[in-house]
Amino acid sequence: MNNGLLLFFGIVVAMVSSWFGFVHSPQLQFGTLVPEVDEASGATFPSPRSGAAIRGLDIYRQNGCASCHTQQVRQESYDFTVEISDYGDNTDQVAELLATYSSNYEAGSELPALPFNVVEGVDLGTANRIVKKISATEAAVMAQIVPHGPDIERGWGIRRTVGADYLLDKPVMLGNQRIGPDLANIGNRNPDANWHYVHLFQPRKAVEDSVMPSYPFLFDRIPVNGKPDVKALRLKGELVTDAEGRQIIPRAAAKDLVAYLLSLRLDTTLFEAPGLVVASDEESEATDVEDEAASQ
Amino acid sequence: MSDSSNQDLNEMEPKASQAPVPVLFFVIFVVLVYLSTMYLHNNAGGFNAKVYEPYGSYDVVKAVQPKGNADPRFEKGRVAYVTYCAPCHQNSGKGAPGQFPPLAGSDWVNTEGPNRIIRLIMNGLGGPITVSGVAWNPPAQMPPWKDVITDDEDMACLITYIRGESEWGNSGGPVTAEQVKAVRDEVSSRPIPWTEGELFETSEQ
Repeated sequence: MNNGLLLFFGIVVAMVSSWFGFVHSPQLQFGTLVPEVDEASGATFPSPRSGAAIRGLDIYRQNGCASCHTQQVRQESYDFTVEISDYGDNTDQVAELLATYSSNYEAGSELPALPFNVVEGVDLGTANRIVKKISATEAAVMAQIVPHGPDIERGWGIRRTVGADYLLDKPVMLGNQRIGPDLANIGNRNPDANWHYVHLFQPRKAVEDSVMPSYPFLFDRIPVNGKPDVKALRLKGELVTDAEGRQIIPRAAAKDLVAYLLSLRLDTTLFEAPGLVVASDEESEATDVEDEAASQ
Repeated sequence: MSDSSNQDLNEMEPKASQAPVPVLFFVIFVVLVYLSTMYLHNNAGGFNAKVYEPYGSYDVVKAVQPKGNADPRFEKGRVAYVTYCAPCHQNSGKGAPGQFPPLAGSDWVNTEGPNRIIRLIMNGLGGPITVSGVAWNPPAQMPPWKDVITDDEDMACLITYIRGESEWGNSGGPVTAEQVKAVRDEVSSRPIPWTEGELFETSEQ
């Protein structure tokens, strides 16, 4: 060892510089993030979880859910939609401008039903120019950002995930393999707690080609004595039973885990991740769930 | 094989030779550092926690925010409302049944001129009051706000919000700081809250 000192300092420099790169600089970047409070409504983001959902995070972790499920939504690009929500009084001018800019409107025809998307998939400059032209007629018009990416197109979230989304997760369950689908928005995609119970007890009952292992130890199996328990699992109205005909009742751990799953929602926009909030009505949400249950 | 040659080998110490580091190594190293720095400069968004792909920089994130037609005075008023008024009158403006009358759709709020509502907020109100045809007898009097919201513009924004919140079905016009100041000068010496009858004696404008 002729150059022992040189070797020692070489190693120290390599370790220290990588510490600065991998530990210190992310800490500088994200270490000061705190939950944001919306002054007007008083709501915080991320919204605090219920006690059951906090315990559910531990169940999620204990059972290795993160080995097969990610909680991060990717976004590749974005473009803009110009939406008109009120034509105002100068309808002739608005019609003229719509004929110029919109391919869905023919000059001379009646003004389309509101809200109407004048153009879709344009860049910011174009969108702002059109908004400026149309708003000069005193119509209510606005440019709305539309995020794009494979996950967003699948309905796994309305925008990409960002650091602020994970502020209340200890530890963060990012995951890095998608053997199962991403769960960042599962609370919205399937808000049916009963479906989740059945899916955890016997995934093949809920989703025909699922490769997910079953988690029977999260449930009690009790012989049916007369009438089945009200808490027993049912799928589409029929009692779910095991091979011996016993009814299935969720244990506390299963309830916590499902409470956690339902708390995973990616439906709000943030300053750092703007997106398109689509007003949803109860009816379409319910049909989505059925479609999903049928297709999964 | 003789013993002596073996001994020579054993005595020979391994030693690293001192060859100079090739110049090319430094050149490549410097070029790599330069390229990575440029990459970070162009793609790291200034290491700002609010900047993510595909938004290149903070300015881009700011530029792509959805821009509504929101009036800043109205938004300021909303914040003041949530702070001072919502504890009793609720975020929904509907008040509390049997205790605090509603502001949403109230005929006291949606007047042509803001004179009475400014007076009412300045000095508070005691005793029974009829709101939109419903008789109320609140258990507590409304406190005076003239010493809490001392800035005329803040007060004007607050009343503009209450009168203009379309989600409540209100449609009163905006209020200016001058209108607030005129009333404030007049009522600043009044120590007691209004009663309904006294307010009716003042002009609606």
